[in-house]
Amino acid sequence: MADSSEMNNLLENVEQLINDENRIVTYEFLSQTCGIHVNLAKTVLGKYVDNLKKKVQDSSYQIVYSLGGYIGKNLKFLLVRDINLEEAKSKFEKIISLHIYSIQKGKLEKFGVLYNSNITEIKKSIQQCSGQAAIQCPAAKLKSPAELASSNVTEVQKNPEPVKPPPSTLKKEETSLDSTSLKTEDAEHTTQGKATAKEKTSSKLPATKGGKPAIAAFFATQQAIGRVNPVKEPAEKKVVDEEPKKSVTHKRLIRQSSDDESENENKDTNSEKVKPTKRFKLAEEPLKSHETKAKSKKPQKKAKQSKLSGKTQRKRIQQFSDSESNSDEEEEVILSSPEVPPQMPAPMSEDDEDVLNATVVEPKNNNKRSRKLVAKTFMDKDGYVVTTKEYETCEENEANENSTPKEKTEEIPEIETKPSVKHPSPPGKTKQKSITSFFTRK
Amino acid sequence: MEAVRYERKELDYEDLSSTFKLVNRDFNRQYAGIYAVRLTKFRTLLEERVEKKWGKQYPIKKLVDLVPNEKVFVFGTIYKQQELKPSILREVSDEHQVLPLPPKARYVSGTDILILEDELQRILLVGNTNVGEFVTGVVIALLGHEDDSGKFIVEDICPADMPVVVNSPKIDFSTPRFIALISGLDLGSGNDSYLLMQEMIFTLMGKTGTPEVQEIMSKVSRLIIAGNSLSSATQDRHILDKAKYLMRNNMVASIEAVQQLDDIIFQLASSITVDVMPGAHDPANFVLPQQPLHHCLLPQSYQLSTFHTVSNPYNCRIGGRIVMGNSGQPVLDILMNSSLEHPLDAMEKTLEWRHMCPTAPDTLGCYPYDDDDPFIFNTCPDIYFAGNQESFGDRLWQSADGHPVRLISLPRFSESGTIVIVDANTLECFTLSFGTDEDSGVDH
Repeated sequence: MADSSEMNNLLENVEQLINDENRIVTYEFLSQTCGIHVNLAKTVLGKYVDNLKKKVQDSSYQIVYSLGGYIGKNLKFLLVRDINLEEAKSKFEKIISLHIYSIQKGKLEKFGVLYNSNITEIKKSIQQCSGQAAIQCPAAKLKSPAELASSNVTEVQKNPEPVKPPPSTLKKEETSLDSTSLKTEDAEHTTQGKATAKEKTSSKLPATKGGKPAIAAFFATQQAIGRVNPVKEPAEKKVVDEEPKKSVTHKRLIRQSSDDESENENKDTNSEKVKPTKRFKLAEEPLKSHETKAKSKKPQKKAKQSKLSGKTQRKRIQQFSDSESNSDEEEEVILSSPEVPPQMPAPMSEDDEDVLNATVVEPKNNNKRSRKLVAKTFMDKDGYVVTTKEYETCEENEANENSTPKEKTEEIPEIETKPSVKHPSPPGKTKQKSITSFFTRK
Repeated sequence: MEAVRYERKELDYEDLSSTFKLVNRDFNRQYAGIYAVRLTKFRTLLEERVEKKWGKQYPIKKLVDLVPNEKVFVFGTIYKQQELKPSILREVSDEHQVLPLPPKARYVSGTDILILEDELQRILLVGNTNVGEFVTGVVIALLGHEDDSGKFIVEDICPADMPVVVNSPKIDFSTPRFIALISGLDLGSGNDSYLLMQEMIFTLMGKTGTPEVQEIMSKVSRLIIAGNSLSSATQDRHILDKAKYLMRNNMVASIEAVQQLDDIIFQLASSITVDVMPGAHDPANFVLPQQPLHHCLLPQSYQLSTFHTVSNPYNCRIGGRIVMGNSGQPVLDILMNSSLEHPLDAMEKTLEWRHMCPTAPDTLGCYPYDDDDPFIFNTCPDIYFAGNQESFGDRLWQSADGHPVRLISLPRFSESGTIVIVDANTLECFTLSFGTDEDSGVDH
């Protein structure tokens, strides 16, 4: 047992904890903070309460007792507030334990708070847990490293798979996001207003492999559909290379595109964003190839596009969803695009959105999968023999070589483009224009 | 109060649960195998039992060989035809698009009938049978005869009962040795009883109470946590119905709860040997036998030599006593499919039938064994417990050979604040309950 000076020290500690720090002092808390045996802590608290009673202070202190005893053959332990102590005692047939559990200033409304007041720190060792308890367990030891290792090894052998990071078949959007920016991305989905700014920042982040399986799966299915986007691979690479410049071009681009796109389109919801992407790919592919053919592109422009690829995916989709829902507008775009240089901004933004789309589909780090330009000849419904160039997925790492051929292929005589334009449009025309159009009389 | 230190007494321990560990997991099989092997195994056991009970006065016959009005013994698996039992086939064939009825608490009614099946055919049982007490999957011997209408008139029933205890190990009775049993911590349920849990931990660790209490607690040599350490609230059953992209950042509710469990077990295991069984709501496999929780779930506790994850059902020998038990699913399932009222009654029946969970695989998930039925009792336990029951109960049951078995139904700690302590010497048990003066619900 502690000698008197030590006891006085402890009492002072208790005094401080209760009155100065305004804490609930439980015996466990005292035992942990002062490093004394639990039973000694109980004694200290008992003394402190005796002193309090001698001083006949106001009754602003609440004392909680731990009461243990037999009811029949069964043991029961109760935490009892001082006012209820006598009543609680009467419920027991034989009391074998009674000591102070906690002291505090003010009233104890809920017993739940006592739980937290017992926790001084996160316990990491046996000594911390049971060092001050009245029971010691010699059997409780840390396992030897060898013991731990052996079982770990067997476990690892059993399941090697789960440890691996998710496959890196991720969209551009994902890959451009740092793992730390995942949260940002999420917020972006929910709060549309901030989306532009956030995407700007996120696109600046270095590409990483971290990603979400759900989205990856979504895009994987897209790839399975076999839709192809030109320039995707090179663009991707340039994005990484030219990162410093990107932020500048982004801003400019966004301004440009905002000319074309109405403000409310920017507020499209997240869900719209996802679904149109898919449809865009399916329906829009021919259109896109037409556009690229119609305009003779220069390498510079290409570089620009690639820089722009960091631009928000959302805008493109909005534009698309617009054009798809309104077939007239779609035609407008088609008609206007071959004609004029002055309209460059609009096609350009569209183009770079195509690029964006491409990068989205393409798994960033998967260099082996690339697009190949394939000439396809067929007879369209007007009887024209049409030759179109389409991109198809192939598994070789030819991305870099492809970039130059692509430039050439884009400079296809415009004559050919017209049939090819017509070809994609019929599906657009037959499409139901609105949900009500189905019910109108013909 | 003296700053005493008691030393925790250790008991010899042997894990006998190896039959419940799945070696190769082949889920492509069907369940015919387990019924077939069950019937074959019980045939020998029942022959023994019948001979002991009635001698050889009547022949043992298969159902195909039955001759009307000849008094014989037949062995077979009970099938209980229950009108109220949900059947997916009935639901599908039902063309009415009515809303499904709320699940019933019990699937028994007065119109239930018993049918006895052997390898080749089945026969309707009438006569001296207590339909309510039986459940599907029990293998029994019947004495009786077939009547003219092809029903079997039962005169007497003989269950397999417990095996004879061959060599009772020497038990050192000099010191009292306790085993503590707890179930249903239900962490993560929202209304967590942390304080009571903490009190329970402190008491077992020898922090609470006077030296007198601490001395009693130092004799508790082992703690068995019988399932449902996590609450059902941590199981998100709708997770598969939702699109993944909608919930990729959702935190699984069980993560926090498992961390709490790790913390709790670490504290306990620093002072006492702890066995953790999985339960219906724990992150383990669904079908019985549930395999031990993976140690990666509880990385902190796993460092301690006193911490063990074990299977459900669990079978071990502690200090010479065979302790056997489950986390409660078999008992709850029997209660649901029979007219038995109390968990102890159901446990008693499982001992009589010599099968821990006869309703598996019918209404209870079960691994599709094809060459073994590990739920048949090979040894007679001394202490037999079932976790996560409504209330505490204990009973001393005697096997046909007079071997006493202590049956214990463990209450859920989250509701009762009660753990059970069994004396390994005397098989007596008592409860240890925790509470505060603000709740009267914990009164036992």
